[in-house]
Amino acid sequence: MTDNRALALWLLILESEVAGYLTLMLPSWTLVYLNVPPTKFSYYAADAIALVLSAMSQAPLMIAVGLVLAHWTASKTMNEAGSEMAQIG
Amino acid sequence: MELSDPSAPTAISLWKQAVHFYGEHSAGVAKTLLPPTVVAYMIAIFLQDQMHALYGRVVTGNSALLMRRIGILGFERLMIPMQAVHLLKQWCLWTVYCFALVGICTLVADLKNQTTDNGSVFTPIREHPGRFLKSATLFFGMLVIAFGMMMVIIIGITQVQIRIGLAVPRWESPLVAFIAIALVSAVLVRWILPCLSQPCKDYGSAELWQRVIT
Repeated sequence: MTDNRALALWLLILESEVAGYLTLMLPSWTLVYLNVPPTKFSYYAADAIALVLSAMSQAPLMIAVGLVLAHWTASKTMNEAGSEMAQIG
Repeated sequence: MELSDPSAPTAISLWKQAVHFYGEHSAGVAKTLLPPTVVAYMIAIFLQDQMHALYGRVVTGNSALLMRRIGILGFERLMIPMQAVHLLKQWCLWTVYCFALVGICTLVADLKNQTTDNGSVFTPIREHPGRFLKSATLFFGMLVIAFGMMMVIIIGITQVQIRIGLAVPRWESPLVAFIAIALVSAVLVRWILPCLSQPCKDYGSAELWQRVIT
């Protein structure tokens, strides 16, 4: 892994940490701001919304890891094919 | 910050590529993320309720009074079952996160290679469930160590502030946590993610552990 890719992944990890924290807290903050009385329904619903938002915000990091892996696999296959060709040659 | 060779004229940033992919295949990404999210929700709610029930049984009266009576160490000893359930919950959620990560990585590889005959994006996990659980647990162990390092950094910064008598503003706590996460995640990227980008063999994992511990 090159430093360029590591830096990009590091930035994406930071972004997903911050976005993940904000999305997990957002539903409960909204309930407090709107003065919604705490019930079992609001508790479970806030948790469900928080998890869905959090999953959505984590997706870019997961996709980036997938892209790095796909890129690495493709370049490895090309290198192997190149060395095989060199051996045949 | 480029996925391809930075010297190449057509290099596109990794972030842009990820967002572009997200926008283009949002339905596939949502379909992949939905089952792990539902499972994570069920596990989190169940274990959270168990923790509340345990706490209610252990601490019947005022917790501050109890702590004063039996001391901090005694109180912490009482909290061990709750901490154990909390750790179990974190491990379950992390494993579900890894499940989603593998699914998304397979989806990206399938769409890049245009292979759709795989059936499910979770097939690699179904074929090697033991290997998946071992890898996820190894990664979780490293995150626990990273969390410990983070706490050391946060406590160190707080102690320096107390020694020089610096007033602590309200926004300081999230800022210090962010700095600690930034420092620890840099280590994670350098040591753990390269392990993802190549077949992580047993000796590779052992070497990784050695590097983290020593």
